[in-house]
Amino acid sequence: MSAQQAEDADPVASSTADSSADQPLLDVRGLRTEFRTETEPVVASNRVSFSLERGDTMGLVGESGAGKSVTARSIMRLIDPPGEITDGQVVFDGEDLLQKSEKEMRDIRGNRIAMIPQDPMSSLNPVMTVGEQIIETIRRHQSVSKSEARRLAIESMDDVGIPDAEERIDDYPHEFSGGMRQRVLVAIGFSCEPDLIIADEPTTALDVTTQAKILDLLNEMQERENTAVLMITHNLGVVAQTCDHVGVMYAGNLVETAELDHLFERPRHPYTRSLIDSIPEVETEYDELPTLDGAMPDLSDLPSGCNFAPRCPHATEACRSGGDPALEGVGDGSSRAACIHADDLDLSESTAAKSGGGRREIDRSGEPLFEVRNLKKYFSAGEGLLGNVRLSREGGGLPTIERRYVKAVDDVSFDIYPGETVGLVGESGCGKSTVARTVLRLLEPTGGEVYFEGEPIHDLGSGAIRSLRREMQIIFQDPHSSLNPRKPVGRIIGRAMERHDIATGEEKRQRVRELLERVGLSGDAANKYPHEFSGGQQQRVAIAHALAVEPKLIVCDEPVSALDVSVQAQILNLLNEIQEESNISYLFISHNIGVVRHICDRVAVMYLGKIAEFGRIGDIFSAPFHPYTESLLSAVPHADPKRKTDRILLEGSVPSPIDPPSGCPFQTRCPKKIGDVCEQEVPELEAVGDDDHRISCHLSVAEMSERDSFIAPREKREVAGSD
Amino acid sequence: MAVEQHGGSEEDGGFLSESQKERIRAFAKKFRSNTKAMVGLVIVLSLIFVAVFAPFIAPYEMNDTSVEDRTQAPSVEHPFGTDDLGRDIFSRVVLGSRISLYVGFGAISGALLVGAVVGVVSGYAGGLTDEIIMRVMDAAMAFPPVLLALTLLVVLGPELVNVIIALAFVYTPYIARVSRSAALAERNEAYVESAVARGESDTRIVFSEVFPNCMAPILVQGSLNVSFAILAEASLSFLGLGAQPPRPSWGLMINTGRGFMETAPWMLLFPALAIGIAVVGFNMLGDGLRDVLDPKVEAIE
Amino acid sequence: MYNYVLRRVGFMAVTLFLVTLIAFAVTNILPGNVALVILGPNATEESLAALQAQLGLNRPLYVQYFDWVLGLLQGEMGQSLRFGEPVSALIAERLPRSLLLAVSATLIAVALSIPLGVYAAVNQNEAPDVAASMFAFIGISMPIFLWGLVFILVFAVWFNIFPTGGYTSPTESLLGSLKRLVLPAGAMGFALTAYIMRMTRSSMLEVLSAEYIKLARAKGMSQRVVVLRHALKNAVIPVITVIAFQFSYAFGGVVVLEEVFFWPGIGRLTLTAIQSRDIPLIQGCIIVVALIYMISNFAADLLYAYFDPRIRYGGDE
Repeated sequence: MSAQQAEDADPVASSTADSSADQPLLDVRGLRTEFRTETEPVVASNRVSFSLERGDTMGLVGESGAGKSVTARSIMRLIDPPGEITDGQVVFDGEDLLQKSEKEMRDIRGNRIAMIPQDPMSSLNPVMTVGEQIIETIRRHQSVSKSEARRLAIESMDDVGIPDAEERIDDYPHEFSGGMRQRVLVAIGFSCEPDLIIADEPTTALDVTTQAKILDLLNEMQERENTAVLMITHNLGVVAQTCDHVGVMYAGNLVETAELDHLFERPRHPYTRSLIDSIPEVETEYDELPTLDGAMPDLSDLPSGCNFAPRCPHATEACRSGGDPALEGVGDGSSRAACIHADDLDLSESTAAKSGGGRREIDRSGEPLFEVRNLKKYFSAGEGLLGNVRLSREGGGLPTIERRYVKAVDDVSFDIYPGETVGLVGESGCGKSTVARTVLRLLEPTGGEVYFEGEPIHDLGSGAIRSLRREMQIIFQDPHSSLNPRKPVGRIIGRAMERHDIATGEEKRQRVRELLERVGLSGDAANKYPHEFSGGQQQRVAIAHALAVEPKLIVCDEPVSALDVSVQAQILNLLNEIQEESNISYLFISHNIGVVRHICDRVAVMYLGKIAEFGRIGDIFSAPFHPYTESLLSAVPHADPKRKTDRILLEGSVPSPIDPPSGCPFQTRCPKKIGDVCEQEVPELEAVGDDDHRISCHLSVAEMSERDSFIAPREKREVAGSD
Repeated sequence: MAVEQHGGSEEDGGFLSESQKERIRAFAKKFRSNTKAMVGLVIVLSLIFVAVFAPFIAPYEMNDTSVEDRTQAPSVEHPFGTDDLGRDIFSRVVLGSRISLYVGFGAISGALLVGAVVGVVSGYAGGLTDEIIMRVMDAAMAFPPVLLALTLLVVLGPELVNVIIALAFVYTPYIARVSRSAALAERNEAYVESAVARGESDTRIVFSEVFPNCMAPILVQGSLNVSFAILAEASLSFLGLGAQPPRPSWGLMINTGRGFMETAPWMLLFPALAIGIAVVGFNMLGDGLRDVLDPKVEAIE
Repeated sequence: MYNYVLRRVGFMAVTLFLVTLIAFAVTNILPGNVALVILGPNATEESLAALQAQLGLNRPLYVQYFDWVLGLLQGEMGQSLRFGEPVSALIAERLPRSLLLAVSATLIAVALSIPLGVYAAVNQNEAPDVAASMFAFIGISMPIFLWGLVFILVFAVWFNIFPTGGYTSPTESLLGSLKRLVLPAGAMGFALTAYIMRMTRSSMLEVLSAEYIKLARAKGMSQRVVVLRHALKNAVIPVITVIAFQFSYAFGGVVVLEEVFFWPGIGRLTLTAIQSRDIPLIQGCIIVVALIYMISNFAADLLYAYFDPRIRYGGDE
């Protein structure tokens, strides 16, 4: 504890060490925020110290519950009760914000320190126009006239790239797309030319292609205004692409701060190493994805030693007692780490076991296990019965009644072979989850055919389909919601066996135990309720539930996207292991390109209800590319600061599936559009070479091959499976 | 509480597992620390106690008239005073609790039985079935409860049993509406889809998966509606179409007391207090349950 | 927007049809019962048959229903048995008086409850909130007629400020009319205040925890601006529905309250009809009250659209 007290007692000393003679813009010293609970207070962030220079960008990364958002809100003194800042200093431009009155703070918020919040959908007031929301910020902090404020607001909307700002200023938030709303939030943030912007996960709720645009915008605005940015994120890719310095948080503490390049080249804290490793690199083949065991400890029940010790591969006896180590300078660089072994450890090499083996070859000579042909699913637009009926008076004359449909899935075909994993990727709203539900007949298809081992699923009666469900299972995105909260997990899993007469009584109980152990839980877990498990464990239970009926196919609908990165890899490895053992097939739905890259054999890229490109994983990541695939892959931020991909930013946003564009669905945004043919003719999904690689585009193969590959730009390497 | 029930005991041979006990303990702890719920529960339990043991608590027969004891102010012999016929008001208020609880529980049990099933099935089924059922419920809710009950009583005849039937009919749509919203919310949970994917039949999904998860809002609404039914019974009796004299209904006693408002205000005061306490009790219990169970669906008031 | 209005009109038409069906069914639960209800259990066979023939009750039920609805559509509700006058004329005379009462009560309630609800929400779990919640609890927990009696006892009997009851037309004497209105409208308004306040409070609490409120605070907005400009406009939207519901609930309350205050409105008319088993008049009265419920709900839907730009502009998705 003595080291910790020394740190607290003289925080200035440690922070002046890495700042120049000039005072930093923001100097956080020993910040501690607690939340009162019924029992004892939970420390959500503790002894957080870092500093930020003018015009610099600092990233604060960590998994959910690490305390990064609490830290950000504490800096602005926006902690709501029962939360309370109990210790520390927040020196901003030479003054301690924690000593200021609430009124003085209000003059600083939005003016000198502004916030860009996470969720563009809920962060704008729905009953006020976007103009009103920008103008009130300007008028709050600058003494300007109404008309002047309006002019400034239009200017700031222009600056953030909102087209026709002058007309759109009087629109309401719901009239903007998610990406545009995020731009409005950026405009509000920059409207008073603040010295510091706190961006709290500004792109987490957005799709990758939109995320890339917003990150670009933030970088551009920051350079122009010379604003300092504190970027809160869980995504190391975002950090690598935007930040100069990084702070890594774990269980409420800052465990490492470093310059960006140093952090990635030689992390000083084992947690940082694990965090970097748990993001699979696109160009590497893994036998098994690198994982970090366990999960972050509960903040109300922290270990007695180093918080990370229970999960740390380098932990020694000394780590497990004597309190959590303080953040101290390491080596001769500017890195600081909260690890007693920081000086001795060399963490510059990834611990992940790489191998060139890659995924095994799939035998596609026989009959496919699962076949989908021309699948269509239309939903009626609007709620309730007749909700889709609408009077329209286009072109004058009498109103006509029309029925409107959302064409969620429009003519999708693919097949899956035994032991194979086929991925469906695309951004939100592309119809991938609808495909998952429609092929299993959880939703009734509007048209098309689905065969399972030659049996026509689309034709079966409800009784027959219920029996066939034994062969096909599904795992959902949100494990918390997919388990009935009122039933012990053993009963949930056992029920599946009973339903299909697989086992009853003692045998059933025995098999439930075995299954739970198989997915990495204790057999005694059967009597527990879902809420007693962590998110990753719940997903393991959901997998056990799917496996209980010994299916041949499991549809995985975004199975890891609700989980923290360090837990994601555990689940993916488990799925891979199960496949190796039982030759099961997966239909894997994901928006995460990195995940798809490492678990799928073949991938379909979806856009607006249609498949844009379909092929083996190697084919998808190398030329020729569908223009959409190319921009999608280019937009993924790599967790590697050295690697700058030449991004293709798409214009506009995804059109409404109620009223899709004529011709090629992508023509409204395509950077390679060649003309009328794109607007008039729907391109066929055609083979563009061997290996069943198909692309739906009017361009020639040569035109689609301007870029070589996304997989091996640094060191050319043969990609398994592509030849 | 009923919410924490778990059907199949074959898993654990009839004994509660550690996790189940833990859940019940957690619920009990939350309930105990909620002042509203506890006060409500205490009032409701006391009411039930009084109603059950009414004949032993009441010092006089409810219809013991005594001309010389008319409109006596509260005293040691008659703590709540006497009415215009010299009957002991305390005894009548005590015995009146039976009528209020009988009507309150009776009507709402009926409404719960029908409303919950109709609502949950409607919410789960969706589509045309749901649309039709909900339009009918909407239409039924267009009539103010007391008015609709009055009309029904004209046809059925002013008897206590008919009061229960009429109020059960009147409050069914309220329960159904809440049950439906609950079922709609649950239907979007992935565990329902997971049950479909497992091959379960719709009937089983509705009653074994969805229903238990809808219990919280239904219970809250039921508890609140008991208080409405008690109020409605008082109104009906006050208007002369509920319980008939000489039954000691609180509403009826207030109606009589109205004529003696100036000379014998106690004739009005004590039955009114009794109604107030009973209604506050069920309201607090419902409100407290809502805090404790934290249902996703708002109750209708 | 106009699609939204059209859809509401459509809903109203369907509900109206079902309302007539229920009103008719309720009075005809037992077939041929109407004559028995009117004449009472001691009626002879002959008098029953005679009345049935006179009222056309021997025709099939669906014919009777169809006849009745057809009449309704023309504003024709039959002849009152008790008064011997057309039901529509009886209702037309008394309805405005009840509307006066219900509208005044609702206005009182809204004026009191919304500021109170906002104040309670902003001071959540502190003394003002606890006091307001207790006030609301007591308001909800007493039958509406009891409030009427309490008001009479206090303001008419003890202090003798207002008359105990009765009705004076505003055209006759505005002041006299107002004097007689205060107690009944006050008693009803008091009961309604409790409900609307509770709803305002919970709606306000929900809005105050929204992300856009957090952003408004992060923009440096003062508490007053956050509450009045950002939160209230959002919080009031669901309250509108509750106000409409309470307004029609007030119409349920008038049956009892008008009896307490000797207010000759539709409530007392209904009660008289019920006491004298005047079936055509009962049917007329409950249909009119249900109609008022539907109209006030429709008005709420329109107000909803006015307050919520998501409905006002663009579709209702």
